[in-house]
Amino acid sequence: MDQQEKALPLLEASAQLEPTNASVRYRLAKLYRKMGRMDDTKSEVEPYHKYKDRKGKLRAVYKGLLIQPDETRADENPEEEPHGKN
Amino acid sequence: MRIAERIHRGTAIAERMRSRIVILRSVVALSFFGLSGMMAAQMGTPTPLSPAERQKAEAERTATGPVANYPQLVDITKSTGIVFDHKSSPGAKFIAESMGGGVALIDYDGDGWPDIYFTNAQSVDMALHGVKSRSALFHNNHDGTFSDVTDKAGVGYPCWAMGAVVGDYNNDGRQDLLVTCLNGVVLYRNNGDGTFTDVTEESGLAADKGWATGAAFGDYDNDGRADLFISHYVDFHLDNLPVFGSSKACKYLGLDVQCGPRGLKGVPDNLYHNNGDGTFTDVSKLAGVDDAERRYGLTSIWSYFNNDGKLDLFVTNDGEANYLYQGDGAGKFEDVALLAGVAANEDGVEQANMGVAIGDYLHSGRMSLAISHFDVEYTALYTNEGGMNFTDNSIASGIARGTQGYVGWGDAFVDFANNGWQDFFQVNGHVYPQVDSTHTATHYLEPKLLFLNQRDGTFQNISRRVGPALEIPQVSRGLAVGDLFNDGRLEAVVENLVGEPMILRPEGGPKNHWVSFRLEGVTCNRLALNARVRVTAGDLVQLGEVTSGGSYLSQNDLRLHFGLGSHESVDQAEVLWPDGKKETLTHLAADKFYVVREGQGVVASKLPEHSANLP
Repeated sequence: MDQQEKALPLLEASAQLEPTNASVRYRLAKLYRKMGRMDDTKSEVEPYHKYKDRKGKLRAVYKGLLIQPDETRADENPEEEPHGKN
Repeated sequence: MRIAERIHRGTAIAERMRSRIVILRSVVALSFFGLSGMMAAQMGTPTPLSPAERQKAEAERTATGPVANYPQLVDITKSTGIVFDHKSSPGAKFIAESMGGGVALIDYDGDGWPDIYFTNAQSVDMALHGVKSRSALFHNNHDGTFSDVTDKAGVGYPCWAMGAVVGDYNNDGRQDLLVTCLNGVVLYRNNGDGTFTDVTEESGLAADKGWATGAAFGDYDNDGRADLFISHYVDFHLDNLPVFGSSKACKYLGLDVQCGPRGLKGVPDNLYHNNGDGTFTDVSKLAGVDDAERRYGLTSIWSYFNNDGKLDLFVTNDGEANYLYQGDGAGKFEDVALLAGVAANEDGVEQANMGVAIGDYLHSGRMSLAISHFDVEYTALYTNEGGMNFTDNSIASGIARGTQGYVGWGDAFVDFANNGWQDFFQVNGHVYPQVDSTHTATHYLEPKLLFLNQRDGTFQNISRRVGPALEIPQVSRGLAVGDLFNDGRLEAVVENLVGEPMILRPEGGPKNHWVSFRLEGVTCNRLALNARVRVTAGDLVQLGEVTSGGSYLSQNDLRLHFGLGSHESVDQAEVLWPDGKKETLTHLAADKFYVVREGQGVVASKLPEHSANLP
């Protein structure tokens, strides 16, 4: 069986199970384009951009909240004196 | 500990616990958006390769013994007499101090031997104190050595230089030099007497003020004159310097590092139309390549990616989607990178795209792309399937497993063995000197990487099996490939961010045949940029294209070189001129240099230099 035909039902099922997954949307858009299904391609590009952008925003929030490694260590040993202090 | 301090610490810990809950919520949200794997790549941990791939990588890395029928790559820098020191700042506290180091092969005196131009950069401290750094032009002495002719040529102090590319903007048959700078570009007109004149102002290119990186000449509208695309990076000013380690965007593995490109404003790219009177006009917006999103542009290259005879343009963007501008041949472009599959990796994740190599490594008659990346990623190999469809074969080809962990820059498809199949070569070097303090496997100085084309779509990492030179760790940036000694073998010239360059020469290995073409345009642009030659020798059918720019901030030899393996002649060489004309040459003897003029066929040929005269 052609690899594209094999991939198609799997990717379509993935998109149904996880509709906000930008990666799946991207792969599906690429596959539709290779198969010449341009309308389907276009309909996948929009959610790809949407969920990729949301992912970017969430990533920024996550990064902004990251605890530095030394702070993490202090958390885990609250009775221990911070390094370099008396 | 005093009670007040304990209360204060207790409050702080509670605050951090609350933060953790928020983080957990974010992680749940990120998982919901299918991020678990991709987030890792973005947050500083490697894009995971399968255990099988990791095993193969280790096997290749530890394999010993020379590669059958393959030369050793020898460091001949010393014997060339080239002395050049690229200035850098030991701490590299600003992004501008990490990105420079381009090298151009330019036959500035038209003697048929490639000369070498190395760009030089300043540090912020040097710039603030008015101390310049000297770029250098080295004349090829035809005996394996080079002489510094910078002062006579007048090309020593263009600017805080990044890269250099070659074009012939006035179609006078002399190779001109375009230097990209932290603050615009400098265009040097070749006067034909060993000197250059800075014509930036009179050409209209002085209007280009941003941090220019990878430029490329190409005649996009087929009017016979080479136009110029200039990619731009970030908005960086000495009077408003981003402070080292000052924000989350200036951290790496918990270390304070230089800021950027994230967090800094990008600078839009520009396309300049050649007016034919020595001046250029900015047509970026009109053409549709004005980079309205201000992505962090690094490298550009022109080619016919869908083989339709209408010039397309590829631009790498650092940490953002690449551009693949499909040309209509009449001056308009449309970005098709996303659906072509070259904007991002196979998961749709945008990467830190640095250098770019194009080549027909599969003998498919189509130009594929290899893009070097940051250490947590890997070099991307996009195989051109035709019809503006590319497949990300980074993992399947074996390129990913060998390149992950390195910060890649200049790269090239190159046939060091002259066997008719292009291998892949990449130079590396980290961005942050501070990584050496992490005591991890990541280092500031990195080795170079060579991958053997296995002729089935896969590559084998042979970096440690071609002599010790590639293992010498350096902070490399630029890479230019060409036949420096006119003996039918390709050398690699590497410019390093820190210190001296390295010149690598293939020695030993099989005595394979080869052929080389220098193309001269008559009605098309004089340097025949983007002309193609399809060479058939027995079962070997190869495609080459004359290109300006590419690699990273660098310029390869403009001659097209083809390895022929055991074939003693070329059955057919089909020249596809950029203006659409075709010319077919037949029964050419191997091991010769041919000069082909548009419409006139072979106008000169030359035997190689005798190896006794060479290093």
